[in-house]
Amino acid sequence: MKKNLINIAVLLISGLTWLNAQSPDPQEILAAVDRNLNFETDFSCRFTMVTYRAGETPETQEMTLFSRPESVGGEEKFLAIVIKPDVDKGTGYLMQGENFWIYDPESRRFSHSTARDSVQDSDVNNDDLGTANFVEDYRIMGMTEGMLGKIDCWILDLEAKTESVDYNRIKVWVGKQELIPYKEEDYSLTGTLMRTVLAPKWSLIEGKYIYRQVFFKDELREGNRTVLVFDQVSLNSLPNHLFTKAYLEESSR
Amino acid sequence: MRYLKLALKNTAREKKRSFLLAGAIAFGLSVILLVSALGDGLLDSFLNQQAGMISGHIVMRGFSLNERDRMVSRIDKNDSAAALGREFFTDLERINFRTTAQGTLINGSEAMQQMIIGIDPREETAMEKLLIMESGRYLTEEDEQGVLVSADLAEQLMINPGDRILLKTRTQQGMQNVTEVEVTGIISGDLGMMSDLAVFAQRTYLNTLLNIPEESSTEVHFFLTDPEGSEQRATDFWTFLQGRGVPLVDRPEDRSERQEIVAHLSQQEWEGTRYYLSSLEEDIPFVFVMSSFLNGTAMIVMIILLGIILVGVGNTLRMVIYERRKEIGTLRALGMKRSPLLFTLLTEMLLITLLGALAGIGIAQVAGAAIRSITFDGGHSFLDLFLYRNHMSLLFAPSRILSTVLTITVLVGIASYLPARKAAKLDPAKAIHSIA
Repeated sequence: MKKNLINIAVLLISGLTWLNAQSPDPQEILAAVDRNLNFETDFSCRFTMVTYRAGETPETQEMTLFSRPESVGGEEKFLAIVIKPDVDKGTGYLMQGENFWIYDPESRRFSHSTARDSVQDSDVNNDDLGTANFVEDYRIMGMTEGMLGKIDCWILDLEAKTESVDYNRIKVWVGKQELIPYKEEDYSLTGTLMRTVLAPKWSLIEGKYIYRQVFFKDELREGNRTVLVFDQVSLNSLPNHLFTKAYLEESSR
Repeated sequence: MRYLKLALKNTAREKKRSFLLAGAIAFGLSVILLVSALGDGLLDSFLNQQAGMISGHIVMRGFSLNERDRMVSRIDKNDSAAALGREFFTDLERINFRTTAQGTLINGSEAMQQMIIGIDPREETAMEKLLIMESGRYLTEEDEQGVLVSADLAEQLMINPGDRILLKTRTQQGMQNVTEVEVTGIISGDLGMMSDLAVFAQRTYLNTLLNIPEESSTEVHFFLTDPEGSEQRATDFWTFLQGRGVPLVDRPEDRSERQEIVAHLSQQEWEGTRYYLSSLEEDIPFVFVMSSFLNGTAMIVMIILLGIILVGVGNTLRMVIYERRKEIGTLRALGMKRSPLLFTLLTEMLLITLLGALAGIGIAQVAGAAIRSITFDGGHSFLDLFLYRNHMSLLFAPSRILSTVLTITVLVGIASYLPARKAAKLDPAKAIHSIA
């Protein structure tokens, strides 16, 4: 009898351990995603953005992006400058903490904006270029498992803790192996699916996962989508003067 | 009276010359009056009709910071600062509490960004009278998710009354939101340029989309019976509120500075609500710029025409005097004094001026009526600016007519005075002798 009890206890403990190993804490998964996406160093890259609009010729733009995390600069900063096509060349975006400016090289004027506006009328929000903060901004409502093509994923159902984020509810497909998001569905406050984001290609640079290609699909407007391709990625430190209006003006000349 | 009769007789004696001079004055005055009427009509139609759709004559916004220090705009119906408007504006026609937001209307792959104005259709009876519905109908309480769109937007989105489309906007804190709305009515483009600028929705429904209490609003619109000088009146109201200790956003004279202040307000820290006042001139400046431009043009035309008239009057009088030297000499020899002679000559010129002015007013009115009767198709061109319900808006303000006629009369008097005085000073013997 005693032996049986011990056997049952051993079975229970190993069963729980197995369960635990199979279903890790969703909060930890989310924290790992944040860690994997965010850098503790400066970041720069060049990205190509192709915007598809129904019935229109696709528009291609190339931009240079520099970013600095809060842990390095005291506040989150990023600067993006359009380098192609010529008609938009020099248009710049500068974020310093809560402040966001758009620079128009033609009028040589800055306009104060919100980080929520879209980048060059695409399906990419300015916020998408900043730091991911899933743990801080969202609470986990549920977690299931599923396959995304051949990728085994945790599917996290998240609800916003605050209205200061773009979407009230998001569903994130996190690869079990690398703990990076491969897919995201963004829902409005009324529960309507607004946007689907797919990130099939990643690079591992200095222990950090970096997007190589991201697809944004507008779920409200038929045929609207945007593709981002990142290259020339660097984690080298950047000079302070890069994140200033003066630099933006100077580099737009 | 005797001299007035004499002046009248003299005017009738030289019919052709009097007719030509009066005709020139009539033509000049009618042109001046028509250009001014166009500028005044534009402003009047805008202030009293079209502006009502988009904005009150004075608008009050209440800015506060939320728990995350983000700036939001909200004014409740029982707001004490808004209530002070009832006390301050003695010519208050109505107060409307509205909610405005930027939104995108989507139908399939077609989408258009628009200003969305949330109204309470029960309160906004003036709006119902103002709007011309091309199809469908005005909003009622039952149309909870109803929207009124412009004919132009309906064409671009390919929608008709009864169609359901998507409305995408952000909550006041910035979160994306989308809902389905139903097209209740299509506003005719005949209303002029303002009919294309906004989409109207139920305020309570728009509030739920913005995630603010159903009964609140983002702006208070004050409509005045005398809307002229809204900029100064907004400043006076600002001073009044300041005197009552209401926390306000600064209002420097330079309007671009005001925009800068609002743009950087979110970087400041404060508690409670700070009120921002704007005028129609500040919110929709181009109409005022256009009206000023037209009135400026009328002024330039007036100066040029007055110059021509004055030279004409001076020369005509000199010619009259030259031709009547013998007569003037005889009159003087018979004992007519200088001042009655001066009076007769001046009256003669003023009579011609007044006849010309009367004819000018008549021509302007007839031409104005003819222009008003033309029906223009709103082709969304520059001309739309001057159209209201497909017709040109012209306003002949009595004060403007009176001041223009008075200006011309005074200037003709001045131009006539010197030659008339010279004639009155003529030596009778020399005058008779020179002709002999």
